[in-house]
Amino acid sequence: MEIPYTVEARPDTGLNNVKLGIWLFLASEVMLFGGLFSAYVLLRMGAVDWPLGSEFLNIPIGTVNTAILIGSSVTMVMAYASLKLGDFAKYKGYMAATVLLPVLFLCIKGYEYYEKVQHDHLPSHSTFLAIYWTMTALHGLHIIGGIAVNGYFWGPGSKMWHTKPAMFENRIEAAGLYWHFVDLVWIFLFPVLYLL
Amino acid sequence: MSGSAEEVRKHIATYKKIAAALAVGTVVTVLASYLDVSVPLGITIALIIATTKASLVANYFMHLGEERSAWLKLTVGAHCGLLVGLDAGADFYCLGPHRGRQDAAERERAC
Repeated sequence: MEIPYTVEARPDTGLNNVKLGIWLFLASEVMLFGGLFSAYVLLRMGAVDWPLGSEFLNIPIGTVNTAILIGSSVTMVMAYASLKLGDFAKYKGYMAATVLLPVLFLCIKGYEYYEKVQHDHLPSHSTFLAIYWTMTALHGLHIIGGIAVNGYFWGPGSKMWHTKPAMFENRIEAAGLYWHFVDLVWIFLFPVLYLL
Repeated sequence: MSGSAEEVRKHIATYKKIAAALAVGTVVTVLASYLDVSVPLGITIALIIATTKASLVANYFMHLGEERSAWLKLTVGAHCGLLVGLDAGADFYCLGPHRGRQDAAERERAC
């Protein structure tokens, strides 16, 4: 049986099922991170004393990680555009970069975590560190998920391009939407935790 | 994204400009944190820059600006509205009448 609306748009929503599904998922993600950001605001505004992020966190490292994540968002959209142009070789190159850049992000994040543990800056130390660990670790889990999905589409999943190119393009678009969302969350996390 | 190869190439040129804008935005965010301003003003500046960067990502990389589906715009709009509402509610809770009681209780404990 053929599943309808995997490529063409549904007449009622104006979206195909892939896009509808990923946007519904992203909506639930907005609520997840939105709840945490609201908790941050609530805790910070209610606190008698709140440390500056730079007292605990390394701003240059955070800036480099921001650049890396933005870079991977750019390579992701370039991978999708390469597919639209029918250039599969370029797609593979950009997708490889999209997978490797967040691996570098996680390595740097791992170093940051190691430093925190060494200095006993654990979640139990303060409310600021508790929210720092919670939000960055949750974001890190999303990065790992993105690496797994994009890695699959770079490797074994890319075979679909040769049999069902339109459906494969849709999958890359959906993976891209998720990946840009992960980047978007970091765009807010970086100033909120590191700079304010 | 849809259309001919020519249109896709135009999109690619736009992506490069947006990438440069995001890089500049990141540098500006870091520089702004060194400004000697009050905490509320610092938060406002940082969030304005972050929101601008986020809207660039959403509009151009996620192609939200090109979406014609009213259903999608409604869903995204409703969620963002709810998010802002939650934050505003949290602010009101902390800065509103409850904050006064909290401060009074802290003063009492300090005494």
